[in-house]
Amino acid sequence: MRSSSLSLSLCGLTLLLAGCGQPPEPKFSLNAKTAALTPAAQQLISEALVENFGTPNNLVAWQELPIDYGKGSPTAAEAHRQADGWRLKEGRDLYMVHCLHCHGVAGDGNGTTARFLNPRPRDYRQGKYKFKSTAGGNRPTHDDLMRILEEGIAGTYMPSFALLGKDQLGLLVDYVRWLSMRGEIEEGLAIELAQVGLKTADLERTVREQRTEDKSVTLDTVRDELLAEVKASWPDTVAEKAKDVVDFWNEANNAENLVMPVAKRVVADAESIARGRALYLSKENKCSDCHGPAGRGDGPQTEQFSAIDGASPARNYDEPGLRDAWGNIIMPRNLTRGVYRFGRRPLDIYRRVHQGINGTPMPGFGKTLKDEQIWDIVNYVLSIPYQDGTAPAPEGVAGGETVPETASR
Amino acid sequence: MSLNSKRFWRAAAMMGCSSLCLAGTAALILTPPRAAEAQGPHPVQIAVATQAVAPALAEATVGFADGAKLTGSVSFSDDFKALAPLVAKGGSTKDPAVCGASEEIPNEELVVNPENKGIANVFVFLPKAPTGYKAPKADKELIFDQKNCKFLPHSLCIQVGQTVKVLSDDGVPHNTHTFPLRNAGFNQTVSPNDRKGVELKYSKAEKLPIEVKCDFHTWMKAYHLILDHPFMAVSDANGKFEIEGLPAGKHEFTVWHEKKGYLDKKLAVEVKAGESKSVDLKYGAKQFATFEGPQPKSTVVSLTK
Repeated sequence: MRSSSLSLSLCGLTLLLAGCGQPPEPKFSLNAKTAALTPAAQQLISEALVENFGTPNNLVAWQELPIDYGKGSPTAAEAHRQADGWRLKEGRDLYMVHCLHCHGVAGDGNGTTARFLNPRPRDYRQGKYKFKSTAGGNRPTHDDLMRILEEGIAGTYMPSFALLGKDQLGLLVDYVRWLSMRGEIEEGLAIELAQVGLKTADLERTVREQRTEDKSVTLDTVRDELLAEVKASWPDTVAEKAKDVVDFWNEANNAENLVMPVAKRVVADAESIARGRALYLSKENKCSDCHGPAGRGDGPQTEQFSAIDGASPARNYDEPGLRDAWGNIIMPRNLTRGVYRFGRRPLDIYRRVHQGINGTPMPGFGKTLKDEQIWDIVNYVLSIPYQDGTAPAPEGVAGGETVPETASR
Repeated sequence: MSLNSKRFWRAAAMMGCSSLCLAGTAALILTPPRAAEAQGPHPVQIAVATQAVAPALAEATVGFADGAKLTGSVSFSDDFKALAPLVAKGGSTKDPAVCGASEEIPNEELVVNPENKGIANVFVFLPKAPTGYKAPKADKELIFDQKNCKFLPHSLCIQVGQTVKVLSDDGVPHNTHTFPLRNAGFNQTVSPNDRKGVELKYSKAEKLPIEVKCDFHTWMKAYHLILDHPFMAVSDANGKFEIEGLPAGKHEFTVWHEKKGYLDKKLAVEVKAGESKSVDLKYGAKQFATFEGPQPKSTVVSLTK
């Protein structure tokens, strides 16, 4: 017994002394869409990314991107702040300490802890953010991301980092935006190359098809032909993708894209709440199809099968349930619990109803409902935790006929 | 700062061991993160050579006077067995009183006319506007309707900035959820029987047609092609299409279909001023073949190997 524990501790000591001598170098992982490409095409993307973004240990600050990298000042007290690009570096160092274990080195939402979490940490690389003040699929503003870092996301594993202070949070926000832009460019390029036919699976099929007619065709000839076409305009393709991404992030600050109610909030009295409930249950809006008649997030839509995005031939997932843009099953919010992901201010709920939630099936009602009606729904939603969910559906209230609760089960 | 003059700051810095260890497996903090970094090389500013800039198209003309025309037909060269409907008549589990109540909801992945073998929903378009061409503003309002829980039309050609009215002729709410790559996504509900419509606009051209879905009715799918010029068309139920007002000269069209993707990447056509040119495109079962066997049922645990 004693000898075994001795050998164990010896083993541990050896590990301590030798094991951490050379830890693996952090790497930006490949997007699954890039990994599906033929190796030569992967290399093309990797090279473009290394050129414009560097590696985690050797960052490159691309001046085209709308990010404040930090201008060096020769009089700065800290030595590292005397050189240009210090904000990005400090952001990275903070990210590596606080964010990496869930969100991953590349911001792929696939850190070591991620597989144990539900909901999964955000994968920044699509530029899709759920919780923001901007319309539709627009990117979030700096303040939106700042708010998430300061307050955390209620009902998830995302904690508040307010103790880091505003300065450090600002650095983190910019590093996350930088990771997001890097990921968006990678994803854009990968989609482009996949469309050309450079996916490994597609290439193999093309070769099989062509070989029935011409036996001299090999994988190499087909691939090289496609690659030559791509390479001819590759710098332009990368520049164009970058421009798209820059435009997207600049658009986030466009005041026109900020979602603000036109009408003042309707007083949350019993009548407004009743109108809100009627709208919630109505045949016109069908909030209850997903969120359930009592707001428990168990509507019949959660038992429908969703189609797999981009699958050919078209087919559904084996498991029923609503899916988000990342292919995860998501449940509609259980409104009886009073936990709201992006804030419980009436304005926050207003924005969710008005614009929907980006990257999820939740649609916006801003184009079909009037502001007053949305406020009624907001008032009702905020009152659900205190409501009797089993009360009969209201009748004859503005908002129209209500859905029979068993109709689409 | 133009896109062609790339400038970088190469922030060359090795991270301290603490960050490295965190990225790896063990967390053994030896030095504060920035101690090692201070000794590293200072960031260097690197100027990358500028690429050649295309000459500015100052004298871009609005429209062309040539008025050449391309007409054509797309047909299926093999026997075609109609695809099984997505939802049989009266077989919908969602909104059965409306969706598929009066007639079945067809699978529009590949639609071939049984009489003349014409393939519908084939996009034919110029990937880029001809040199020196400035597209006239598209004033015509397009209608994107929904009936029997199906998008009408299934395929729509839209010019950048053109207004699309999303209507609904169904007694249930729909949502129009677009999945563009270069535009911001759009996901808004459309009220039941809304004949006034919800406005949808795109601000940038897309490379290929994009998907449009409805999350209420998961089978609903349509395609929008958004370009910054009007030289695009989609084949009708007889497989016929027509592109008007083309400048004279050689053009390379893209032929694309949702089931296969590219049917033709570079369909070379030469048109003469004031004349109409006709092309007949034929594609067989082989061109549309996809692997229909059982799908692998594996779970991706990690994407990083």
